[in-house]
Amino acid sequence: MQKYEKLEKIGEGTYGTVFKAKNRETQEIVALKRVRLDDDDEGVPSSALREICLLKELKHKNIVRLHDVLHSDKKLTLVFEHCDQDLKKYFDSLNGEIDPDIVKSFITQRSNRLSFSHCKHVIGRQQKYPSLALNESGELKLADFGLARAFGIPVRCYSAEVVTLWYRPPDVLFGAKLYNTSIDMWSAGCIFAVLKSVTQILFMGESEDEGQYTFTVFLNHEQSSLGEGEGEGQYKSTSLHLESTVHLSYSKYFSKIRHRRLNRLLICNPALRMSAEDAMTHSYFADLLPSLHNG
Amino acid sequence: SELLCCENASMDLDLTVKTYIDPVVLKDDRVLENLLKTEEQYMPSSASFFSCLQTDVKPEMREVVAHWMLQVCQEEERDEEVFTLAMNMMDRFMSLVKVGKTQLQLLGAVCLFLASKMKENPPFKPEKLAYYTHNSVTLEEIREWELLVLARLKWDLSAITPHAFLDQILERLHLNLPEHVIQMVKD
Repeated sequence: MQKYEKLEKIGEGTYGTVFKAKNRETQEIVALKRVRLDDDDEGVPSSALREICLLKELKHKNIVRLHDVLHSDKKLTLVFEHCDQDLKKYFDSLNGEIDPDIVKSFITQRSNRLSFSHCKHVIGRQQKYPSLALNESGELKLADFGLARAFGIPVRCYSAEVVTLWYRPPDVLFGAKLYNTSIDMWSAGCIFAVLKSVTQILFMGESEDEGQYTFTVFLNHEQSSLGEGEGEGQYKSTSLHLESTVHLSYSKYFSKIRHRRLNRLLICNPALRMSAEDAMTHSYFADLLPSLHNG
Repeated sequence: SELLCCENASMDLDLTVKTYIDPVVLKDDRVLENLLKTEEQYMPSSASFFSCLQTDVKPEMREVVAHWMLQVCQEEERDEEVFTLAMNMMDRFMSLVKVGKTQLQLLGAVCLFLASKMKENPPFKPEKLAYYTHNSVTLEEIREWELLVLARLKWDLSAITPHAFLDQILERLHLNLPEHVIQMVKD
C-alpha cells in the first residue's frame, strides 16, 4: 500500500470505502476502492469479482479504467482512474439549467459505451446517473459495474433484482427474468429524460410495488405499442397483470419530457426498444463531431 | 418478495413463455468476432504443461478431478457454464504453476467456487465444496487458494466458454427449426 498516498475519502461504494489517492512514483491521481474480506464470509464477494473481471476486459474511453488490483488476506484494493465528480453532483451544481449540447454529448458518450459493451457480450444492469462519472474534460465514464455480467445464451434466467429501481424497465419490474441488452436501453431512456429535464427522476418509486404502480400509469398510455413484434411471450404475461390495475393520468410525466428519441427507448415491449447501435446512428446525433462517434 | 405473485403467474405460463432472440447480440458479426478474439486470450499459456511443468500430476489425475467437478455441478444442478469455465481456469493455472498431487482437488474446488461466482447467484458455499471432497480440503485452504488463483490468473476470469458460440452458430445456420427442437439441441 506504500505505492499510493491516501488524500481524502470520496464516498462509500457498493461494498466498501472509496478514497482519492496519489501514486507516489508517477504522481498520478487515482481512486482506491476498498473491499473487505471478512473471515466468516464467502471469500471475494461475487459482485467485486465480476466487476474486476469485466472491467479488465472492457477498455473503452467511456468506461472507467481499472489500473490494478492489490490484495492482502483481509482486503482487496481496486485502483481506478480518478473522476472528479458524478453526474448527480454535477447536476446539483447547475441549479436546473443545462446546455442542450452538453446533454447531447453525454447521451452520445453513454450510447457509445453501451454499444461497445453489448458488442462485448456484457449487460450493464446498473445504469443510473450517480454511477456515471465525469472527468475534467467532460468525458463521461461508467463507473459502477457491481451488477454487470457477461451474458451467455440469451435464453437464460437472470436475477430480476437488478438495475436500481428507478431505472428498471417494466418487463423486469414485473418479474421477467429472461431479459437481454434491451434492459440497458430502457435505463438509457430514463437517464436521457433526466438529462432533458435536469434533476427530475422519471419513474420514482420507493418500493417495487410503487414502481409498478407508476409504470401502470405509463403503460396504459403505451397500450398502442403492445402486441407488435416478435417474442412478446414474456411481455404478455406482464400485460395480463396490468389490465386489472388502475388507470391514472400520465400527463404529469410526459408534458415535459416527450421527445421523439425517448419514444423509442422507453418502449415497454423490450423487443421493440431501440438498440445502442441504432441509438448511435439516430439523427439526434448527426451534427456531433465524428470523433465522438468512434469508440 | 413483492414480485412473487407475478413470478407465479409467469411460472404458470412457463411452457409458452420464452425470451425472444436478441438481435443486438445475434445479428451483429462484431459480437462473434469479439468472442473469437476474446476466446484466444483465455487459452492456457502452454498446451504441453504436463510434459514440462507438472511433474507430480499426471493427465489421468486431471481427468479424475474433472469428473469429480462435473459430478458436483450435476448434483447441485449448476449452470453448464460453471463447469466449462472452471476447467478453463484450472488448465490455465496448471500451465503457470506447478501443482502437487494432493493439491489438485483443492484447485478443482476453488475453480468451481470462482466459476460459480462469475456465472450464478448464489454461488457455491465453501462448506458445500469441502463436503464434496469428504473434508480433505479445508475452508481456510479454499480462501487462500482463491486469492492465489486470482493473482496467478491476473483476475482474468471472464473466459469465453463453448456455450457462448452455440446461439451464434445456430443463428447463422438459418435452420428455421421449431423453437423446441432448437432448445433440444442446446440442452
